[in-house]
Amino acid sequence: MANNGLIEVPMGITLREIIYDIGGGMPGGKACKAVQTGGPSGGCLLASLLDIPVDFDSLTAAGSMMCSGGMVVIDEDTCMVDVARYSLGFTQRESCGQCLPCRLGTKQMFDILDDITKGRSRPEDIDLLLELGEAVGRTSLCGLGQSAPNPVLTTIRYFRDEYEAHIQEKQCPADVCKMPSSGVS
Amino acid sequence: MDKVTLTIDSLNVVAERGMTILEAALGNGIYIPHLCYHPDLRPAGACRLCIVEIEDGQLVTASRVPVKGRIVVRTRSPEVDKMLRPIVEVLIANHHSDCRGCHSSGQCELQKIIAHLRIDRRRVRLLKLPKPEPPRDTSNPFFDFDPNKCVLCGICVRTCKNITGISAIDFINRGYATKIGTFGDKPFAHSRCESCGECVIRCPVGALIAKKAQRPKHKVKSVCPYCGVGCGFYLGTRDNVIINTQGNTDNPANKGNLCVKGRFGLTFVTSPERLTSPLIKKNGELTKVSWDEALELVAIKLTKYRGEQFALITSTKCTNEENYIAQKFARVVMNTNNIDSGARLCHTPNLRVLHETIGIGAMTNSIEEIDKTACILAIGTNITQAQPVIGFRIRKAVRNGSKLIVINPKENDLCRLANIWLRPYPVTDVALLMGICRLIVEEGLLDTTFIKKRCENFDEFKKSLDDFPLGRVERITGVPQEMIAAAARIYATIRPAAILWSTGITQHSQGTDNVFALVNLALLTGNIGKPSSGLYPLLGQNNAQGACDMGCLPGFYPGYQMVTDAEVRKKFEVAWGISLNSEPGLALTEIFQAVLEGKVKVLYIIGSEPILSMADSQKVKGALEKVAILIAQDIFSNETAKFAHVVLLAASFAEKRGTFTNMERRVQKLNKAIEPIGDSLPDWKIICELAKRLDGKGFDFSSPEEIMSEIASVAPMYGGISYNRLDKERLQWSCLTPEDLGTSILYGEQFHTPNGKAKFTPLEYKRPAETPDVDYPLILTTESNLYQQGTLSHKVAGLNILGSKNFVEINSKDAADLGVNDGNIVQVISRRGEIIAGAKVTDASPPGVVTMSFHFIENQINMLTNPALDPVAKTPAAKMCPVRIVPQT
Repeated sequence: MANNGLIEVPMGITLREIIYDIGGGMPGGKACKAVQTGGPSGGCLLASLLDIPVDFDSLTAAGSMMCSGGMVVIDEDTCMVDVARYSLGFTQRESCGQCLPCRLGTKQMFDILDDITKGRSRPEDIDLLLELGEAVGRTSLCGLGQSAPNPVLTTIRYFRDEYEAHIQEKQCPADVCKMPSSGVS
Repeated sequence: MDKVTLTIDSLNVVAERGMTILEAALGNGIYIPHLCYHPDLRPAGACRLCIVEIEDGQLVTASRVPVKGRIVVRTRSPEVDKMLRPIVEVLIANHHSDCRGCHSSGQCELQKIIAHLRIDRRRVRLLKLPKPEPPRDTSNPFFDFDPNKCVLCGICVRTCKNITGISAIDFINRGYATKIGTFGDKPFAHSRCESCGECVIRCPVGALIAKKAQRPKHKVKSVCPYCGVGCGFYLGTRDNVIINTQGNTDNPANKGNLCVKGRFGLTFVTSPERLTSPLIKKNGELTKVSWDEALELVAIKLTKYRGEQFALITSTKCTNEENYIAQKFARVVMNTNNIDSGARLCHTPNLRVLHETIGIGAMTNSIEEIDKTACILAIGTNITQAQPVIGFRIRKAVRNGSKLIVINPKENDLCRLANIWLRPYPVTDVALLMGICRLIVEEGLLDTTFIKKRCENFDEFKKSLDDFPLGRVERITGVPQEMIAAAARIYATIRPAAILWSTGITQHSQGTDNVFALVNLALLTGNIGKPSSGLYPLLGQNNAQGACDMGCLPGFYPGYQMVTDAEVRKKFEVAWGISLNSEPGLALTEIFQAVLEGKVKVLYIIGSEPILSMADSQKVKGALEKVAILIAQDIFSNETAKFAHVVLLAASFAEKRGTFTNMERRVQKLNKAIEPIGDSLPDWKIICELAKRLDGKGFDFSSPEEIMSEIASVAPMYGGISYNRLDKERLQWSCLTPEDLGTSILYGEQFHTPNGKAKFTPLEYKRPAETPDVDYPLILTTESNLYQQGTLSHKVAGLNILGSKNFVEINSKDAADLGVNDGNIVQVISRRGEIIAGAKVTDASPPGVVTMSFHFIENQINMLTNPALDPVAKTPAAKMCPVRIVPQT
């Protein structure tokens, strides 16, 4: 974005107002593809949802959350699978390890995502991620594990096509992931 | 208890209010998957596998939610299944999945979960996680740790912290890298781990597992043969071999806990070194013979030496019945009171003092009461090493808020937990305790009502305190006045307070004075006759109390009835049908002197190792060489047997029935778990057989029960004890009649002295029998070792590995003065002998004091120690002696 930094805005302002009026839009006139609210445990919202108001209920309903109020605005050059992998990588590293779902579940999900971004994916990986994500989110002991799957679940929900491109065609649409086949072509 | 009805899987079940849903379900036979739950521990909720559905589809962890009111629980539902299955699959993917060859197979909680959920292994294979396989930790001789099987449920960590209080292991690292490890991630054998195995028995999978784990075919209830705690356990056997032991959770002394010796240290029973037949020395060689030949020879020899020429040393490891028979043999057949046991070396000062001042020579309260003691004074005792299971309790009590005062010259495990640690110079206890008493009197912290109503001789005692102004006490003991005062205030004001001590108090030339001082202190504050207060003499041998109870004392018949009392003697003459010798016999320590003087010509030594256990072993050795006839009775060919003319082959505790009396006066039955090894016989049978050959009357016993009935008929405090009752009840003497429920707390109403009052004893400070000088400038103190306990533990390879603490601990200042470095070989020389040992430079021993463990055959510390006797109890001052250290080049 053109303007980065800390801002104070009234509750109920829309994401679009924050990104375009305050943030000054994407540099170089690129399109906004998604917004991740609430830090690395937050969900990634589709650009078409930019008109929803920034409040607790609306963000939760859309699959993300308010949490710390952090906001990452993602442009068209970014791969959403890579965003999920990056975010989960953070929470997985931060896991204290006390409860089983978070300790092992986040690692398992991270390994699957890592494989997807490296072209080693299998067709069943999306279902596995969905099952694991829901189980980890529902059964973990604390908020970290409960929210860790958010970026994965929301990117699958809103950007499933990108996952499928990685898995079925071994292609990264944003050309971010180093896929073995793309190197050859 | 308040009951609640709830519905689990459409069954109505009753549970206690406050129980968790998981406990309610398991208690009613309904399985809910779980890994981190253990009934002995508080719930952790870490494995998250016990999720269940309650009303409105809410998922909760059953181990964390208490049952409140009438709720409906579903343990299986599509929703539960959907959450649980992926988590279990991920867990299996991270677990070493080959169950073949795993000793836990069949008892594994993870296997149970897999079966319960019908996990599809093909789905697990989709998850294969690339992970490095960390190596197993096989350093401990008794158990292995395999991190590849560990599910990180934390049961071991919580056990080590909350049950034993040792905290040797914890989670290390974080997140996915989390693992179980010791401090500094050192191998178990090189950590603080005490190898008690409490974690091993609770591990839900096969991560912590006993080496050579096998499943026993039979389970026999018995009692541990090591220390005086008398832990109850079950011996698991297979093919006449003890496979494992499981703590008896119903036993009040140990509540199911065991230490390393009780859990892993019983392989001595089937050691290949066990003798298989009696032996007779022929042409200087011990030769195998038949029972008939051995007994006939002994009988012929003994006929010539009846009376004062004969002495019998019996064993604190033998049962009550055997000790009873042994003293009866000495008194009835051999017509002498020369009968004593190893209890002389540690317990007799307690017997004498407690008998004289309050009436009964034993612990006043019970072990389990330690849990609720508000203040613990531990003096002259290394509890965590010598009575580890009591160590568990003390750690727990301190964690729950009890105050702990430790008085010990050398730093031990308890010092770290202590609210206050007084570090007096060795053998200055009387001065220190009198100083404490004086402060209590001066500040008016004494229990005047109790003293007036229940004690006598207080004024004389009070007068003797005049000699102990704190300034003088500080000069004698080296403990700063303020610390003495602080400890005194804690002990006097925080009640109930209990005093625990062991050989650091008794094994001195003024051992009885030390015990008098402790009794004074307890009386002064009224800490006696009440729950969780009292006096706790801790015993190192499993049946030291029982041997004394049975009259294996030169001055007492069974039940502490005095030999010199004509009426008592008459009673025993009637009971045994023979006229008895009215002269009290010789004490253990005097017996060896009498041998050297030629007064005692026959020694019959049962299950004892005087060369190892007695001060000045050179002298003991001399006596064993000199004695005309030496009969050794043991399960091994021990050090004593090397000098013996005849070795009679005894059976071990696992091969016989009988009773042991632990240090809290609890009479506990052991049952026969395996058939006797070789030709061995229970000690009582051997002695009875011998008695019959010597025309002894009253030895026609066919079982230990019959012996116990005779004991009950002659020793009033055992009057109500019988095998029938012991099978069902837990009895502590005094137990006078078959209706008497036994006595857990003595002196609730009155003391067992002639006038019912306890007696204060005025004391003065005496210097030790031997003090350091220019030639012998250092003080050597002896100490116990967790892994060693005399002859039995020497036959257990693992204990020898872990307990190879065969060194002399020297303070760093002294080491610097002497030019000794850690690991150097040094000579330790006393006025009586010298030994060689490795030096360990440490600040656990104060400057001027060096410390050695007293258990080793190779390194007989008692070559050095002082045979000077306590004038009353005749206990040698084996706890300390002056030495000098000479570095070897």
